[in-house]
Amino acid sequence: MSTIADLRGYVATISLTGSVTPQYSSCLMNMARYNDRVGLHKVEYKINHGVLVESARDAIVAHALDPRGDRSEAPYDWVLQIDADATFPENLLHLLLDEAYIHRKDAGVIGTYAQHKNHPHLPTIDTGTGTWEEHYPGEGTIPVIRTGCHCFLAKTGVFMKMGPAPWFRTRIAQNPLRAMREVDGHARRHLAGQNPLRDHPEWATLLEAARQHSPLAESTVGEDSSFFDRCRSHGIPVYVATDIVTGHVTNKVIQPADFVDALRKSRTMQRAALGVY
Amino acid sequence: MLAAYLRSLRALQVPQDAELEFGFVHDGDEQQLAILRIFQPTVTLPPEPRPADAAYGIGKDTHHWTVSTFEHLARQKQRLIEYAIAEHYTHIFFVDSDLLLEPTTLISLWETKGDIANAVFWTRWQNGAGIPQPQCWLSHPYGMAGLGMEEHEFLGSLSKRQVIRCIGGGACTLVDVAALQRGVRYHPLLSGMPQGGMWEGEDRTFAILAQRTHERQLADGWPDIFHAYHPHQRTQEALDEAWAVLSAPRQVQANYGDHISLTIEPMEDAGLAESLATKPELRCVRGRLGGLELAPELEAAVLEMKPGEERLVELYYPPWHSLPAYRNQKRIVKLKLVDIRPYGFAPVLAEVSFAGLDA
Repeated sequence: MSTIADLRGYVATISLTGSVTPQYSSCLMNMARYNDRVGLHKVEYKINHGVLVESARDAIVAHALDPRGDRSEAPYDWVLQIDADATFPENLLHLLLDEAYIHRKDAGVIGTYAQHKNHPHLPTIDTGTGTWEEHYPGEGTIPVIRTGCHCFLAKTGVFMKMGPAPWFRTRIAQNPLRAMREVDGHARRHLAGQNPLRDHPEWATLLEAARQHSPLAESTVGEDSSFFDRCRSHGIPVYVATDIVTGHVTNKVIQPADFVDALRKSRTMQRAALGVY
Repeated sequence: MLAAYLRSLRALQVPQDAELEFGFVHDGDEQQLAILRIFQPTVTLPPEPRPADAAYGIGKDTHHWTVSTFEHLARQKQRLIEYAIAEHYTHIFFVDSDLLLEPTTLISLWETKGDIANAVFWTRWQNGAGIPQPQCWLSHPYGMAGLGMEEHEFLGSLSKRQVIRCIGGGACTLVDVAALQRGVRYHPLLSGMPQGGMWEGEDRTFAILAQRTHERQLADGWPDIFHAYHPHQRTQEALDEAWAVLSAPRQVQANYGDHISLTIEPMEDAGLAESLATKPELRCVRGRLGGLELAPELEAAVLEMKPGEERLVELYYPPWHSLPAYRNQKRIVKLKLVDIRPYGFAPVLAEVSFAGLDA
């Protein structure tokens, strides 16, 4: 009977600067030691320097699918991508493998509970609202339509199902006007330069409605959201394990406001100690 | 004005552990001296010649003064300080002669235990215009933001009758003589200060020196004080009306909805007691009974107590208390009910805090 220890995989760090944070180094060392202790030996660890995050992610997947680069070795079973500014528990991999291969066997991708860097630091969990939602650690493993790529484990079968690279690409967000332009161009390419739909009054109506409902400025979809959109279109279940919390290391400018906040908190505590809440 | 002022001083309630004596500086007006003699102060310092240009004018819209005015005023205040130190008083309570104080003012300041405690009153400096401002500040010469507070936080806290730190104040100030012995003074005025406007006031010299000697200066928003600043506020009718409100009998037992002023001191937790010892405003609690979130033992005690009463109260900290170290613990604290007042706003402040049902 095989166990998760029999699975082969790739822990890939992505660094866009070429360096990793001290916090990340410490977490990675601890995790590697932990993995050795519990018998998770079939793991390749590598820190990848990528100038562009999307091509770096693709390169990691390509390596996971063809570890020697000559198709002489079977693809890994899984790939764990972690950003170089993450912090995570030592049993991160163990927990994710348990989730992906024991508790949520249908999962194609499982992300961790991670806060967005920007205020108000919502967790990167979208269960269908199209926005990052209010969720908290301890909610279990929940199905999502989208999460971030800060730290996620994907079964390599996911990428095989999607087809060849690229898997991670930033794209311009779709809107009605863009969609109609696409249709218009598609028609002209295949109907001798003509779009007969334009002759119908409904086309003009739809075009006017599209103009009204399309934002003036184009918005982009990040490589992570774009990837999860593709997962969804391929019927690949994506989850976030909210019990596995990863941190986001960031530079913070300590300002007087931080001191003020700390002092107020301290005063509130002192008053609470006197029975004033 | 002087008679109304003296009536207000005479009505001041004195802290249980204090005695109060009165001292004045005679400015040479014989008519006023006659009124003072009836009042029988402990001391009236003889007049000093006032320089010709040391005028103080009360105009229709605001007041006017010169640098020489402040120099003279600072000197007179300093004479009172020198007298207090020589006679071994522990505190001096400076009260400007255009104020009417509610009787519990001194007790409120006393209970803050600040080195320098300023009773807050609110004034529209331009007659009929502008929002009322307190006579204490957070940045020199008269800024309402500082010490980590935005202007709205500072003014909002004072309007809710809180005790908070400030870096300067004046006109109604209780000063620990120890602070004066450490070098805080009114006169001579500090040299090298910016010229013009409020920088020239003797209060700035006093406040800046207090900062230099690390005195804890507080602004106390509890007392109701009437500032007879504009001519229409100095009429006998206006003064009588204000005094009727300030001196109205107060209830001796708190009801839900009343404003209450408490002090709470830890009796057991040495670390906490030590940390609070340097932060007088932390031990002062003000708010509306029922609106303040007090431990139930404190609330029950307050409902039974009379102003001035002290009581040891055993607090039980429930299992969900915000401080883990206190959960399921008991601690004894000393509770003092300093004052009770019906819900309402300070004079002048009421005009902007509660426009009324007709607004």
